[in-house]
Amino acid sequence: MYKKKYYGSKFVIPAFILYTVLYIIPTLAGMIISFTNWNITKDGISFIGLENYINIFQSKGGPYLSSIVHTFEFTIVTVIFKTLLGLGLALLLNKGLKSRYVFRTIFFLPYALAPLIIGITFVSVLKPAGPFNAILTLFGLDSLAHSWLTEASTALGSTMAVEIWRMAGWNMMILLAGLQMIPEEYYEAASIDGASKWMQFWKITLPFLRPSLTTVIVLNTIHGLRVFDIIYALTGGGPGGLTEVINTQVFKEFGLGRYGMANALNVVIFVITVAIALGMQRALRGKERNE
Amino acid sequence: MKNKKALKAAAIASAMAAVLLGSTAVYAEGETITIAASAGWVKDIDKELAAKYEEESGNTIEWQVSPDDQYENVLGSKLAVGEGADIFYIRSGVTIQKYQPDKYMMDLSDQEWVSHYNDWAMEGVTYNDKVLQFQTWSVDGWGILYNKDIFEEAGITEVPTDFASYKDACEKILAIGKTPIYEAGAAQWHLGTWLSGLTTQTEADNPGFYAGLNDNSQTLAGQEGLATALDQMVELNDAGYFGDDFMANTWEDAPSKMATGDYAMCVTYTTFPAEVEAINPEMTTDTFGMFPIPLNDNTTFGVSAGGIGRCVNKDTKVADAVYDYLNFLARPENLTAYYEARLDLGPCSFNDIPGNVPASYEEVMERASSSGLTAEDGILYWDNTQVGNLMQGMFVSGTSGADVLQGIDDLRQPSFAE
Repeated sequence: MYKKKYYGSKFVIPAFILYTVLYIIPTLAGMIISFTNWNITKDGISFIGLENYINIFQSKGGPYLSSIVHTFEFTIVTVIFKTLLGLGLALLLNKGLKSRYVFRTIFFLPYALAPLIIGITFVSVLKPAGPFNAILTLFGLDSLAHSWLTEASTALGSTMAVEIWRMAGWNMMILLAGLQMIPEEYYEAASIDGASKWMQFWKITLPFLRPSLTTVIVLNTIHGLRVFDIIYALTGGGPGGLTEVINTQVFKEFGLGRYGMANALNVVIFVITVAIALGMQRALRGKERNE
Repeated sequence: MKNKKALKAAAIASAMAAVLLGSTAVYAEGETITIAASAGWVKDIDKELAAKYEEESGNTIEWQVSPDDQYENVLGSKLAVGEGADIFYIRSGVTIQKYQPDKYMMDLSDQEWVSHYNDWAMEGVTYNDKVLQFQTWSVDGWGILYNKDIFEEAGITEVPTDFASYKDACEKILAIGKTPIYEAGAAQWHLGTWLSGLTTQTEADNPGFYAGLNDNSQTLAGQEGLATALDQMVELNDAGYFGDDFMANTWEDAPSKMATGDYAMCVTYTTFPAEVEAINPEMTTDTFGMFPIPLNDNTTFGVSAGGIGRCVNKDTKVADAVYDYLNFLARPENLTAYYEARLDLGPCSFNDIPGNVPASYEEVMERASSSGLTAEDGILYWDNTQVGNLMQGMFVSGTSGADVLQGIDDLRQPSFAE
């Protein structure tokens, strides 16, 4: 009787075909190309084994390794701040505040904008004579004014800040959904037992939020590792390669017609992303099960 | 019931077939010529001439325009998978070699208009004794444009001819409260143009230098003159001659900044004064003069191989229509219309009409000891944006000119790999 309730396996076929054609085949093709010297300036393609990969990891101080380092720096910082800021906003706008729905919309809005548009806007905002420095000057903080996107000390940090601003609202939304699932009775019981707000957060909110937190941390990590558009629009990888990340490097290699190397870099970021995402998911879900 | 459905389906299918066949019949009246280009290279006059040609010939021109920063990627990919347009725009000069000319480009040597080419245009569009491009652009170069009024106000009586006199001039300009140089540091490619113009001197001093780089028997690393020139750029910045935060300056702002009269000089092309005049009519083209970039005491003027040209895809199915279109564009009346509309271009590639020869071009050519191709058009796998990216490192990370040259060698090397 129950067997009839299940769909037959042939219903999977259309989705499987689409997924294979649009995702699996291109990915496999990319992997195969990464072992070749395919270069638009040369006729013919030949297999060169791991040479592209060796070049990536042997280029000490070169563009490839430094772009991998920048990608990790970008990912770690943005994951931490996007999650914390998202959590803070979610807690603040969960209940109590009258105008919370308006604020939720306002904080979520940046996510609805295209990263390229945000990038172009922030190039103007963060210019030496731009509004951000003008506000600092207005409050007597002109000593803090910088050429944010073109100074070595602030360029990468500024791109991170823009990304955090863009994604905090999205984090807030997912965590808000998690907060809404927590039964009110737990807080009431804890209050009667005399638990402080901090204890309630620590013992009720956080454990219940763990599935949502797992989701946002994993997704933030994937977003961070695959960052491209916001960096491309804000700095183009400059100044002097200080904000170069793997995907801007892929774009440049592609532009130079070195498809073999571009695909090798793509495979590197793909493997790193999958390994980290799966590892984190396993670790975080494992913790959930243990609790 | 089933028969009714089948009948309905057949009727719809035949109606669709009729529509399709009908539209094919309309199309067959003329050929469709596809043209791929970067957005910044296609101007209104290109569209107007194309429309005029469509009207005259019955053929259709279909533009495939890509954003400037993506065009090369798109073109490379499309050619690689056999989907290149019938005509595609690329830079003249050494860039032609980047796109496998023997595989993708039609030999145009026997076309009638080839005999009308000026020498510089002929050189720029020729590879292995084959003419591979139809070019209606102009030879131009990047020198130091200076505001004569500011020079006079600062008491500079002689135009700088070496680095010492250049620094001296900058100091005098700074003293009257003006910024000596507008440098678009945020535009990596613009930083690259400085060095691209300076390799001309190296080639003039060591003929065969470019050829050595292009067959990978020569390196840029070890060229002390070029390293010195790069280090001198840092010296200029340290002395405050680029103004505050020059790394945030954009190229798009260059004409308006020069039009304010707050900046005395800018590395730019010879037709640039017309753009400034368009913004500030009081600042006529006569306000400006030009001299070669004097870093490392350079006196040569680096010029392009003629700018942008149209290549004909070797696999085009509409070769006759393409030749017809190029013949149309090569007519003197159409060339005149083109160059009259393109005031940003200098001399015409064809000897039928003069084109526009700006005073700055004549002036800089007169001042230069010689002229030759810039690195961008003379050195294979040179990319001004990548070079500029490395040069930005000199200003933000303290790398040296020698490091930049080594970096360029490292960037080019993978492209030579077999």
